Amino acid sequence: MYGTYMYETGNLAEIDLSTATHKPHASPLSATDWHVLMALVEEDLHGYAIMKAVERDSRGAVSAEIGSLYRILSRLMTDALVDEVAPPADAPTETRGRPRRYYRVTEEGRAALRQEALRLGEALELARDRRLVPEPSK
Amino acid sequence: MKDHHHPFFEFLLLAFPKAFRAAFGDGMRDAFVDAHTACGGSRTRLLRLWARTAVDLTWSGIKERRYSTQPSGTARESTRGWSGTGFSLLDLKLGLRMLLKHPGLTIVTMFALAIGIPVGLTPTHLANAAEAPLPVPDGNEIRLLRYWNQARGTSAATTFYDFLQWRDGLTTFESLGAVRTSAYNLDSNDGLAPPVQGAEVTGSTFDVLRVAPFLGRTLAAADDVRGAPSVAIIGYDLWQSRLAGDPKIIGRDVRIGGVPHTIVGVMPKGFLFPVRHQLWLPLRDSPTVEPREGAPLTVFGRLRGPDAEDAAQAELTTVGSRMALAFPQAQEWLQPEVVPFSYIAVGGAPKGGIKALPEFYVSQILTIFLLMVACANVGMLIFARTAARSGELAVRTALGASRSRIISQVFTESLVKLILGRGVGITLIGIVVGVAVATALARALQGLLFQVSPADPLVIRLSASLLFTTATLAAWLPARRASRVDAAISLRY
Repeated sequence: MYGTYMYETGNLAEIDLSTATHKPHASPLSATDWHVLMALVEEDLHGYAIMKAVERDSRGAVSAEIGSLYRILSRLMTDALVDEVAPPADAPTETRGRPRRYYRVTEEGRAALRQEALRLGEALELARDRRLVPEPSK
Repeated sequence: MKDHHHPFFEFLLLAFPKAFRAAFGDGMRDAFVDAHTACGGSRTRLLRLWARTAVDLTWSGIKERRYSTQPSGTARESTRGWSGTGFSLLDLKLGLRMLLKHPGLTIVTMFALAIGIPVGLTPTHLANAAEAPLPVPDGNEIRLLRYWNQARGTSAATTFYDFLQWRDGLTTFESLGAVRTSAYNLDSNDGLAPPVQGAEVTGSTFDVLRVAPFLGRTLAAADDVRGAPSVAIIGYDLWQSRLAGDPKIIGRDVRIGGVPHTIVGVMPKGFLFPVRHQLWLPLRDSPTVEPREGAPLTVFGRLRGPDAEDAAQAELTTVGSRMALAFPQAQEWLQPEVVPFSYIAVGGAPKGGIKALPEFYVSQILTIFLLMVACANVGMLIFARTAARSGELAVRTALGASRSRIISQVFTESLVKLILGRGVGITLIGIVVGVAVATALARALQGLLFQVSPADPLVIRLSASLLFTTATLAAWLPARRASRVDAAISLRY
């Protein structure tokens, strides 16, 4: 299945969505959204773990404070890119009298990440063509 | 952090709509507990975490509220750039521009708040400082024992006789001490002999205070005996400033009031007792003194546990009645009382403390009045300024700015103006006045009381919430008014 994706700039790009089963996310992801979703690709995480993962993956360039992070999670859940899930079986026993809230990236979320990765890849290609960034060393 | 329901964090969460708190409140609390634990007790990191969290939660909460009141289907704002911190940079920029454009209004606002709020909070600050415990181990167990003259409504002097009677008759106190302050000429062979604030104290004083000497020893009961060698204990600062920090100071003779005294101890840095004193000599009154005779002194003691005050007061009343029976003329009107030690600085205060004085209530009312006047003035200035801008606001409305957008702009402009008025703003005068007032208050308090911190957390919290309330009200009202500008009428005339 192929889909057509319109960027805010008005450019059209053909993207391979053959592995996606849902409608893709409708706009480029912000840096924070990208890192939050990316943090959840490999494992389900709770809020603080997401904050640390975002900071680590972006090498400190992006930081999501508590209020901002939960607003983002709320929005991503509304957009069906993220779901709340039960804590993993190996999660440490909680002493706060209730289970922790864990989050997982949905199929739509993965599709949005793929789109964004492709978009960034194309942007990088273009920058290389114009010799703004060097070719990767082989 | 054991208690993850931290009151201030809970307060900050209130910035978010109820539904959002219900959905994500627990997760946010857990994340904060984790972040708090990760600080590992480092004060700097904790401070940074609190500052970041306070700003983030406040602005994110406001944004979320704004979003939740919009019609469903409205897109949320992009998280690009400030990545969801929700801070309206445009509003802030417009606010700062207004400040620079109207320096007169800015200065008046800053003066009103930089002076009004610190001065207004002084009575509360003083009252809290006057009730703070002594900064010694278990300082909350230390109490003053004094007489209250029921006929005159003032405190009355205690004497060495009272000290002896109380020391021998009271069991609810672990130990009792007595102190009589004075100024002494200290001749330290440096050619100078300015008076030094000092005190005669009983040997038991240092048992009551539980403070170990920095060098040598403290005074003991044997030093209280008449005819014992003349000895003295000095404070750290006095040792450094007048005796050149002489490492062989113990055993050295100095002339105090013309009489040679042997220095037997140096107290640690910061120890100033009972108020700002740093020279201590043995108190050697005659044990055969009669009631109500002899020079006045202050009696204090350490309770057997912080909760023993009621029992101590009951016992003191019993002992007092016995003394009044024995010497009716001398004791009839005097009611012995157990009060916080800090009353030594406000001797005339009744048992309820400064807050029980009618003057305190009068000052509170005046304070509120003063603040109201300041706020009203500020509000009027901003209101007038906003009214004068009706043309500009009408243009913004005509160009499509929504009502909420206009409110947001005027509100943030006013808030910026008011918050900068606290003394951290861009106008130098505001900073100078704010800092000068705060410093003067801090110095006045430090001079009054032994080591009481002028940075009283309660007063800082009060000051912050008062400022916030004032700022919100003074900013909100003109903002609402501005949003009602009729673009057609304003642009026509």
